[in-house]
Amino acid sequence: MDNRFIIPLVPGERFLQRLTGATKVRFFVAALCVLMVSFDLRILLPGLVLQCVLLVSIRPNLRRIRFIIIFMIATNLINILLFFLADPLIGSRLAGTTTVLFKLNGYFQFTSETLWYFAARLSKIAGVFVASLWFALSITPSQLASGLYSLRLPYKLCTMVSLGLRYIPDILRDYEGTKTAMQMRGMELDPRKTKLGARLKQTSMILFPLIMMTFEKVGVIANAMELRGYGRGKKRSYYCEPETTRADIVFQIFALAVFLGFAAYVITGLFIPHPELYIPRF
Amino acid sequence: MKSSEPIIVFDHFSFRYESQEEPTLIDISLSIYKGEKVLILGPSGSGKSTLGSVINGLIPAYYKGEISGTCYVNGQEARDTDAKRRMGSVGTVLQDSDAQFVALSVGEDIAFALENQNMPRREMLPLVFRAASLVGMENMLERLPYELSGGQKQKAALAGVLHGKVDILLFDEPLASLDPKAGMEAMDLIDGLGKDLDVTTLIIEHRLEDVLYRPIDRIIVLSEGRIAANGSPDEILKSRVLKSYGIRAPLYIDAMMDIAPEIPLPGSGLDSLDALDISAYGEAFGSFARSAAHAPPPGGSGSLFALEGLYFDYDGTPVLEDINLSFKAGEHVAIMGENGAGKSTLAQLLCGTQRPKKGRVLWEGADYSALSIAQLAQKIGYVMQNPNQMLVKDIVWQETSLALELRNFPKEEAERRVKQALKQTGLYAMRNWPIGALSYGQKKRVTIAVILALEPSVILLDEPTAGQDFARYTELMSFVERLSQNNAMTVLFITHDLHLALEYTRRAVLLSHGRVIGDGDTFDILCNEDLLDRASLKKTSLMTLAQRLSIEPAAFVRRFTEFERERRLSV
Repeated sequence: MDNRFIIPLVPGERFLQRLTGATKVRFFVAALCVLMVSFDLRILLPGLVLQCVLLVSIRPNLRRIRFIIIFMIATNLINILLFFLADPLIGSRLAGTTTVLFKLNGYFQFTSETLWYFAARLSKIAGVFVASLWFALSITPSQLASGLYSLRLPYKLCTMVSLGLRYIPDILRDYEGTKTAMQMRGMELDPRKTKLGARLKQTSMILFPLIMMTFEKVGVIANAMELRGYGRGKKRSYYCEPETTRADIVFQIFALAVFLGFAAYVITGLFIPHPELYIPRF
Repeated sequence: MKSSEPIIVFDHFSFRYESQEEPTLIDISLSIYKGEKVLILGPSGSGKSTLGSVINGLIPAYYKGEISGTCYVNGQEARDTDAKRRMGSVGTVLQDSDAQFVALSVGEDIAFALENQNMPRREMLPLVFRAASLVGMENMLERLPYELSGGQKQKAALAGVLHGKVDILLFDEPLASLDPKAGMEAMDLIDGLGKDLDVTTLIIEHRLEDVLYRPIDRIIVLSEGRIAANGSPDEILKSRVLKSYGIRAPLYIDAMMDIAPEIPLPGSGLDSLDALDISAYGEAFGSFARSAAHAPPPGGSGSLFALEGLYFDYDGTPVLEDINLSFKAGEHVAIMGENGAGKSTLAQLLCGTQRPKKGRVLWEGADYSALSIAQLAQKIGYVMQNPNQMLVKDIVWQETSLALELRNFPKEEAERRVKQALKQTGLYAMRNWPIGALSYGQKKRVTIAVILALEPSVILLDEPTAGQDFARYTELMSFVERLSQNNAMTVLFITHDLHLALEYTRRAVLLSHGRVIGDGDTFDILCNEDLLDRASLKKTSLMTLAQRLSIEPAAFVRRFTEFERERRLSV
């Protein structure tokens, strides 16, 4: 069965992909913290650029991710447009100053503050998205599990993550089988011929046996794991995790520094209203 | 290397699962010695898998229940809930080779037990390589589970339990998901490992002849939770007890006992046909084969549907090429070939769930491309291998009538058809039963009833007998046979079970690497050694028997199959 997900099951050859799961998870978490909490274009824009560099560095297969990128850009532009329609002066209100660049009428005015605000908003969302993309494309499910485990998460939780990703293709195959059987029995799943309500009802009919089959499988999986000693020790090691290299240490230190620096920035900012939102005076 | 020191000792041992009223194992007393290779034989539901769970410690660690009597495995008492020690010394390979592959690469799966011991990765690598080398998988450590055959997954599972000090290897139905060639490889591997590692080997199976491909020290027959027989292969094979316990004896033994009952069986070496002295049977078998009726013409007349120049690929990789086949009404055909030969794709093309990329499928002369999947289903019914994939309703009646409801059949007509389908499948008395309360075999029958309700002219059965013991196999197949006789239905079997093809079909189509390599009379095709080899099929022992006695194999196998059939029908 071919792998139709963007998640790689084999570790790639690029520099970023060869790092350990622990490094990738730490670096990703640090990036997410900054990008999600900050609302400062001076931080967000370099952040976005860095994430893009990382994404490009693994030379992703563009055909595979094209759809998801277009989808992301489209939804965000719509989001910004709606924001603007609802409140064209949102940036100015937040900044407390209004620098009009040009106006269409009394309601639709373009101000520097609003443009700044939207730029920050876009880079923030795009940054998070691009970070998630390089992360997903450079880590295998097993490395994800070992990376999470290295953050002191209980390993049973980590196993759930990798096990889930392991069996998704199997579940999809069972789903296809049941769907085919239902189509042969006369179920019409073509959206042009069946109403949404009826289709939902029919799909739920397929899900029922799927859940039953999955439960059966879970029993075997649990036995197989138990027999090989899963869950007896307090700790566990990971076969998939490559040896830690100097690059890993550098990246981990960098991630830690970013994280600590940003934490300091947030904590000191607690005493100033809207610390994370920065709009310059034009 | 059998020693006199017992490693497993059961003494008046009984076990009842917490969820069940009756005990599954009753008064088991038996000893297994160090280095022995033992086959635990029994039909489904005989308790053989439960016996395995006691030995590997899943009972009581995972399955709770009530134990009486005693059982020692490697010196540890069965009640001892510290299953860690026992599980470490008993390496278990489960039946479902796919589900037990829990990791995302072969290497990782083999390393799973070591990961759980928190072994540093650096120490793990050589151990993984060593274990993989033992099963011949050392060049596949990077492979994903989705790229492996059933046999390869099983090898990975086996390698995964070979770390550390393993004293007992336990195989739960190792042949269940393998094609015949892979099955032989598995038995070779099991045999070799048992000798090299000097371990005690336990094989739980119901396919006796396939296990006997490599020597076995002892056979223990279980029936309804009790030990029915316990002895050397010679003793068990001679005693004829097997059939009454729902086990099929090796075909050559059946032939020797049934064709020439007056000749006493050789005293020893019955488990291996190759080494057996059968010269005494030459004359009797020769005249038996000559009495063969002339090949009856394959059933049916006129082409019902035909495939012309069919071609199909997945993303440019050809799966089927240049398929030209024509099927008549009322024919029984076996479609055979190794795993991955294109059998399933052919089924999908016939049912229209995939459409040919080149070529045509003709129904009574007309191209089928205008017909929807649902319309085609009224011509050809596809009974999937796994009944669970087909059953979506709660109650037998609802399940059977669903297809008719979705097609808006008039109520009376639908009721008539459902009633008829349930009566034909012997399920009418169970029409109000919940699906969940049915056994696997009964579910299989419901899926056939589901298909029959649509009254198709062709029924396509995908591996109808996979994973079923001989008793259930016979029950299902004689049911299918009756059904097709009464309805003059065309029946296509997708299978790699040679016995099924020989006993129930008149025509065989062999596929290999997406092409038809043989199409004709079942006996001629399946007694052609060259074709069998190319299709990864194993020749039957009947054929070997005939060859060794210089009798024309096809004639002998044909005659014997008819002979057995008459016996079966007269019972």
